[in-house]
Amino acid sequence: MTREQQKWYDKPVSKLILITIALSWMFPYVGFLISSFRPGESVKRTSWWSSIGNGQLFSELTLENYYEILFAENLSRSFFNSFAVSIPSTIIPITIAAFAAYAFAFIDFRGKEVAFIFVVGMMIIPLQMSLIPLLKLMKGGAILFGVTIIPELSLNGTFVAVWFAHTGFGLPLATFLLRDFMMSLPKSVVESAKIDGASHLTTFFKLVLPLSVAGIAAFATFQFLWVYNDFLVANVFMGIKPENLVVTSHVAQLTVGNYGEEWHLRTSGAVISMIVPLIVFFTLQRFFVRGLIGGSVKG
Amino acid sequence: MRKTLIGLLAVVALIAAACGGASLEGEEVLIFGAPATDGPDGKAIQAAMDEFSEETGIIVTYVGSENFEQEIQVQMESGDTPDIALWPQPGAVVDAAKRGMLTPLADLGIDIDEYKSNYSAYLVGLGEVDGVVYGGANAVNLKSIVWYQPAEFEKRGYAIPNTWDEMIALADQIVAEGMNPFCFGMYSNGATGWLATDWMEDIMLRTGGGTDTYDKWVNHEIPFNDPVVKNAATLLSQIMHTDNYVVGGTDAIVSTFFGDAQNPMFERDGNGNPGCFMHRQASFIVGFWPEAAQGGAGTETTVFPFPSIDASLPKAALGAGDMFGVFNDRDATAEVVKYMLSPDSFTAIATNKGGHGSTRISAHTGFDTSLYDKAITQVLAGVLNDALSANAFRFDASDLMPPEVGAGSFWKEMTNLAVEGPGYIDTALSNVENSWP
Repeated sequence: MTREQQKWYDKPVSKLILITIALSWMFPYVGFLISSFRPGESVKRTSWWSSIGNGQLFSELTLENYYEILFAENLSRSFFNSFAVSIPSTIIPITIAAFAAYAFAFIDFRGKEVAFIFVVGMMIIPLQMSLIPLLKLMKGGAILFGVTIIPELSLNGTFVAVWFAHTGFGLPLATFLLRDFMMSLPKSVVESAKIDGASHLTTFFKLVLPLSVAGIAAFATFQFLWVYNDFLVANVFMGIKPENLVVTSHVAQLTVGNYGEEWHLRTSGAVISMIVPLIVFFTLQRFFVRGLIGGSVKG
Repeated sequence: MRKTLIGLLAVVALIAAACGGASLEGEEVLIFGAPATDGPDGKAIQAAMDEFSEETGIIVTYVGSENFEQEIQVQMESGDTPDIALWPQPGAVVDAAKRGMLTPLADLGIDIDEYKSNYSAYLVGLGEVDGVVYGGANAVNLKSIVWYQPAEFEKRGYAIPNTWDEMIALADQIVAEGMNPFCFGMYSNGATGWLATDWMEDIMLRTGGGTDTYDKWVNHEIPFNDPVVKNAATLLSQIMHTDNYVVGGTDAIVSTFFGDAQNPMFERDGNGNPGCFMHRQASFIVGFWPEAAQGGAGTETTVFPFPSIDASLPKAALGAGDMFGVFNDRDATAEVVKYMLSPDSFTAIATNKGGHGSTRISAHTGFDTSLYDKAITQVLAGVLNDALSANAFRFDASDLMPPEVGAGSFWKEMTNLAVEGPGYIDTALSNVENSWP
């Protein structure tokens, strides 16, 4: 291998820069992890770096913060709730988005471009803005010119409400990513299927869907992580009842004290709630990177 | 066959209705409030409710969130409200009632006259809209207190000042002995100034017409630069601007973080003298003390009531408190409300049942203050109880004034006054007056 053929990231300077960026990116997380093993009093009094500096750290390491969170009542129920929220909230938008993406990629219909711009435009709307209107919609339904469009469902405070909300918030990005991914598939394959007389439904299920597994897995990882880590949407749509708590809101509640004085527990709480996303990410990492890059470069 | 089945079902339903109708056993009631579920106050409220559940079979769950105020707004918008919400300020109860969200307490079978006599007409009045009572008074806290160390006072033969003049005389004596009488630090980021407004409020409660003038001042029925207010500002300026009164000097007042302000009291110089002897601050300050000092709250470091100024006025107390609003008129909810308004609902909290460590103080004037397990809470509850019984308890004025003033010009001009000195009093008060919307 000659010098010219070396990849840019193999050069020592690039390596140094990359390592510096990686380290500075990790810096807060290291502090975070260290803090989670320090007793509350010390966390509030001295910084974690000065505790390393004066050697205090090694004598004071404790699992106390972890005990407080792990042995909290009903934490397992909250983990269960988190999965009950995350799994449907991942599957529903992917199912809908896969059909939509196929249509955008392979079917010619009038207004396709406009419709697609509309979908992409939806990504710009901050979800915080739509929380209250959506709550009202799910409670009282919608009546337009005397015609009931959506009935009065009173869904708020149920799992279904959160599934709907996450589906809505996730769909634009899902459609966009999957369409890009599907467009990167070799056109000739789809066309030959068409010539052979395959219907759209057959092409979709037999050809496009199996070929898009990487893209779907990438988005599934993305959506699962976001839904699992979400605090706001779950908090707003599931209400405050203890039996509805998800892990994020339960950890938030455990680490407050009266009015916020127990914040030293936040680090250990976050580490515990982070375990699931880490497992998911490392299992699906291969798909994740391939899926995202596949769409962006080739499409 | 079918008919008999339906008939059978109807009979079963009737029996179930007859049995279930009388008792509320198994009914669930949800209370939502600001003190977090797993904190001392949240656990204390739950402990009190558990006692109620044992007696009645009504299952009461308390949920608290540090984002209570935003979340309850969202819940009211969406219609997914709890049965009872416990607000940290009565103004929010009034807002909710005006939006038609709340059930009047009278509709729940509460005797309003009895409620008023138990909790003071003023406190009940804070939760009233057009003469209809919506808010249920619950816990109160006290701001009208001065922290001191009895041992240091005794050692030097100082007496607790009962009047403003005695406090000034004591301060002068301490200065003459080469020490500083007061700790005074008001830096609080964007909210700098609230400590000085608290001082103003305490002085206003004890001068002029007392609580009457105070209420007029809050409602802007007297101008902000009225002579009574000017007199109060002059008295405050006397504390802030007399040489050697404040540890660190006048310049330190604005730059010292309020949470650190009392630290000099716990330190000793070469002669064994503390940095200061008196610090006027609400009871929450204990949480900001150095840890070694916190254990001595109520004993080594305790409080005397803010001294009276006009002896003819009743002993007033400045404070704040929680108030609850009720979202429905279910029978089970009504039972919980009745319990919450009875002194029994505070026994588990005061006696620290289950070791929750809460320091909540009941607003019920008939509550036995000797039940509180902490010395300092007993002292504070005593002062509060006397003031409530005399209907001389008042809410923090700056919280009741329009936000432009109460969380704006009043804070800002009091900070400027601390910096500029007594010559600025007229300008400060006129500026606040002009900013009133």
